[in-house]
Amino acid sequence: MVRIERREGKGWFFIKVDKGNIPEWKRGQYFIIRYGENYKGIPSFPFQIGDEATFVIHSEEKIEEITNIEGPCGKPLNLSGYTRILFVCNEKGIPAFINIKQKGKEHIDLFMLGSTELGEELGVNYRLIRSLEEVKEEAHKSNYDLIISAGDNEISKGILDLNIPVEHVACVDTPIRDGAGLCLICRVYVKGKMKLNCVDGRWFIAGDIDWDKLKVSKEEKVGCLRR
Amino acid sequence: MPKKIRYFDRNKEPFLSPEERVKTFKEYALGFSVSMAIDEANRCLFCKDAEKRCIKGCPIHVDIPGFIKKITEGDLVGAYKKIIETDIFPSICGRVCPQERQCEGSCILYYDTVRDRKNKGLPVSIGALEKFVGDFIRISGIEIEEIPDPPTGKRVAIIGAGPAGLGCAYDLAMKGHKVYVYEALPKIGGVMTYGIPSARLSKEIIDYEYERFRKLGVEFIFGCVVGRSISLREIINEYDAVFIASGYGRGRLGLKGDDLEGVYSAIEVLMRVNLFGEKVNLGKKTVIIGGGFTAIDAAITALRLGVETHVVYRRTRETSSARQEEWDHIKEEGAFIHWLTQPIEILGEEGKVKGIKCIKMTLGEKDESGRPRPVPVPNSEHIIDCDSVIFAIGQDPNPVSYEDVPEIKRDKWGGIMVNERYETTLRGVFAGGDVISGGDTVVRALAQGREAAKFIHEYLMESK
Repeated sequence: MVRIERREGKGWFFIKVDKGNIPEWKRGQYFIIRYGENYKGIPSFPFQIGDEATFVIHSEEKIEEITNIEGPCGKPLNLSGYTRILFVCNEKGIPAFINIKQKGKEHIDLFMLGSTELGEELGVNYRLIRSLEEVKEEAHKSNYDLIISAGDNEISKGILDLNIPVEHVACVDTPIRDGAGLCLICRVYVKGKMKLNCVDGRWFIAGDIDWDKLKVSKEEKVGCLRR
Repeated sequence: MPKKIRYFDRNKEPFLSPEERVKTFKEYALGFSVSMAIDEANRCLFCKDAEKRCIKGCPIHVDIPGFIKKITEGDLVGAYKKIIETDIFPSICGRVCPQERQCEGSCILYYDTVRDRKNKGLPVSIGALEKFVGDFIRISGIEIEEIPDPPTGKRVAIIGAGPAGLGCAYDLAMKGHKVYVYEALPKIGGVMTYGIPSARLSKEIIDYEYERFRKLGVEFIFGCVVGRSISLREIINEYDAVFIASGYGRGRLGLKGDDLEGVYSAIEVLMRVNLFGEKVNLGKKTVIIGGGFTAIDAAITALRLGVETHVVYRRTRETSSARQEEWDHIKEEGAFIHWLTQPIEILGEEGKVKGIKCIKMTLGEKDESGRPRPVPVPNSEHIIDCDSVIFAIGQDPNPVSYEDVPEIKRDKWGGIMVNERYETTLRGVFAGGDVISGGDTVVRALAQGREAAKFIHEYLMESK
């Protein structure tokens, strides 16, 4: 059973599925939520609310029916050895944060940039920050042993540019089509080698990524073809 | 009275005009009418030694005179049944096989394979006849009963719903085994769905074939990326046998400048358009690198997206692996084909593709493939301005499903090594199709899947 809840005016859709109806995921894995006759897909990190797996996706189009939920995809995120983690994201990264938080016991603080509406709706505790400089200050004060960034790639790049002496893992945002490593649309250059965000990601050491080569991160205009 | 040999009056399958077909993703080859099919079937000489000729030329060894005879008798159900004894997908193979190099290339009217000499005529249109039979059954809605053997209680997992996986699934299901097919994409077909454009292979056919499998009781698990969604080891532990048919579907790049915006793998372009119905932004002018089926398919797609389409290939038309008639088709539709042209660098401006630097080639001594080796012509570098570049230079294996199982030995390219029984180095795990042989045709993958099914069946019945 799949339920779709639309948040009017915001473009957010909450997709809720009885947990028994989709495969169990590991920490940091995502699914591709497909809708429409052309199986348009949006990658989304699952998290649990009650007995339901919940996916939050953003779409300008109205989503009336989910045709397929694919996954779990991508490699799990292994956080063993870390105890104090700072998670930095904008609204788009909230599902990833909850996904990570629910599957472990580490202490994870959340810093949010921009709108907090989704965070509030999902009941997460966060600190609203106005600039990434605050991340640098807090990292110095609070002895974090890992920073995780998610949401828009700009956030990850911005944190990297601050040269904070703390390990930094980024959730990379690229278009993803098949989730199986076929089409290369999601290619990411990591230490000079091509990796695929769909199967090798979505978590990479931020400093290893050639962010300037993530040129495919802009979604192209999508239109249905006459068949 | 001896049958008059009709060497030359081969029926030509009707096509949409180039002007019409370039505007649509609908199929451009319209198929034989009943009267054309019967007339063409009557050209067949029904050679008594056909197993040394057309049947041998067919990778899956369809009884070609057998099914053509049925057409001449007006028994199209009989013709269909005859074909599916060996080729379960008549409508597909009739469309996408390179028949001129297989069955039709071995038709006695055109080439005497026994005496190894060219004959004077044109071959029987075997591909178009096969397509006609498959389409007739599908469109007319005639139900062909395919009754599996009683259940054996054995469970088999197949990784990948492409031609090899489906071929294997069909035969194992018919033998009474319970078959589960794990597929990463939302539909069956593999390359037939995401790779071959609808203009060459209508997706309605794939949907029809899917129903056939469902009726046989084959279970499909879509959206499951083996190696990520579930590990191969879990699958191995859960099933009596496993067949890996994950294909050779990973796109390939490999040229200076391939990280620029506007560079695509052909698989990306084909998948986004064919499977997801997207309009990929190729700009006003695209250059496709390659000379095989994928390059042709990328060109068919780019032309229908309204893009000025250039194909650069380092060898000649005669030595390309694509079908000769398909070069003609894309040329008629407006593609510019640059033979003996080797790309050497993709040029960019502000991170975006603005052209491709190429060098002219000439043919030298034969290489290990037996084809003349292309050699650069000094001082022939030139630039083709373009907004995008599509790599159609072959594919790589996709090791995601089996990379975590080191007991499965891999070849130097990353594909899976098997013995003559399609067994991998891990007992109970078999593999076939492109993952063992590199990129090959749909029909060869299908043939391997069916052959592997025989050995898997033997294995299952021995391990009672």
